[in-house]
Amino acid sequence: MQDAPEPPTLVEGPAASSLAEEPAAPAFPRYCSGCGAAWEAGWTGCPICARRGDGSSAAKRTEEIEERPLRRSLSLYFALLATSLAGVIATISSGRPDGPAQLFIQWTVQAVDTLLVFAWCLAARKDIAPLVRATSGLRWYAFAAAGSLATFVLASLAVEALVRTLGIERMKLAEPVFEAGHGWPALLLMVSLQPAIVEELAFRGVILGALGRFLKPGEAVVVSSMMFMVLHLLPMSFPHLFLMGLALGFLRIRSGSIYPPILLHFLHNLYCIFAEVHGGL
Amino acid sequence: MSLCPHCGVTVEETAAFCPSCGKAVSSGSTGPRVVDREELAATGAGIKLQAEGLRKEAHKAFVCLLVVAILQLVVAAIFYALSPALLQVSVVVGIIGVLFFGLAFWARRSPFPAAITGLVILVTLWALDAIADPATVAQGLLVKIIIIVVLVRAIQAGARYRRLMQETGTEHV
Repeated sequence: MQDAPEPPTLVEGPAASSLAEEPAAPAFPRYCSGCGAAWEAGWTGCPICARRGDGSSAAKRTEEIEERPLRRSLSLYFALLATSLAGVIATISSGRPDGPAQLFIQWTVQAVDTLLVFAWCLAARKDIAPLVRATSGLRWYAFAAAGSLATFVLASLAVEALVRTLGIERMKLAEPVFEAGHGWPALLLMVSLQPAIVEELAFRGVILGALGRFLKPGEAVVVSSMMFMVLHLLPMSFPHLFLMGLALGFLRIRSGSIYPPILLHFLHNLYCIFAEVHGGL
Repeated sequence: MSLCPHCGVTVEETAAFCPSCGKAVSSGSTGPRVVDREELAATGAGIKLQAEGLRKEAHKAFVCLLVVAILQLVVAAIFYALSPALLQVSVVVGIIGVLFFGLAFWARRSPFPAAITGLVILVTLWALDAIADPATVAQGLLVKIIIIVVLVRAIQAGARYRRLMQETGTEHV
């Protein structure tokens, strides 16, 4: 193949001279020093004879790079699972599935979860800090508000279908709080605000961030949504929880911030409270 | 370090060819080049061999998840056939069965994330079963252990496969 003729220089004067002064990019190596193959840009090692670009022979496999983020995401998931299961055991052994004792257990679980998630956020602060600092565009908050309506309608329809066809008892969120003598502030804090912040930091912050280190973004969203779905321990609600997890995950990936998914989750839970207090759909 | 006799750049002692002009340079030894395991593993042929093995290992996740899915659906059908009063139970078992069907088919394309998800879900459900009825821990213990071992090995193989593809700059499938 003939060399292409040099294109005529269009830029003249100071710009051209400054270009000329810049040192030429080192085109070294051009050939593999192990086997003589033409070296292509972007190679870190020779694919034919395994010689490294710096001339060292034999490629030593890098240490398990995926291991730490995988361990981090799974350990947080199983820590949260452990507190949830401990809550279930405590509720069963207390003998009364309703009433203030149950509420106390649930709030204890939520308090422990909050501490756990903050501890993991601290450990993964490199992943979390950019999410917390980024505020993202206004349109993502609009998407979150619209999305919360969609997920709420979806969840309500799914629950309604389960109640009608299978006779499942509707889960009460507000009633036990009011019965225990607490007011709206406690209800909003424990049912709407705490889950929104803590669950989003856990699933869309630590877990999705860690999974994203070794999975493609779409895969990481699906895996984190599955974890989010299963941790609720309500197999009947798996389908709509999974879809909600997907929506939250994509919102977090696209917006690059943790706040839009927190807003969606907060509004979703808020609608659920209002629907219960004011008689549902 | 020595100089290339053709173009004069400095060349590593171990180099057989000049990295600048591509011509052969005389190296200390003239005997055949000995390739050890690590070097072979990094050659094109070695990478192909490794990738093939890892893909096969990871692919077992598909079979494993499919078996779980079929078992769940069969159990759901049995529950429903036994008594319509068990409708709620069979719906729960059925939902999990459909979920594992989904995971199995995802595992055909991407065994790595599907195996992670399958393992997490199974362990969670078994823990939940154990709390509801501690006797379930011992039920089918051997099958449970086999499933865990297959999935864990598929996850390890999947991770290694992806790293291999990443290092060699190939897009993984």
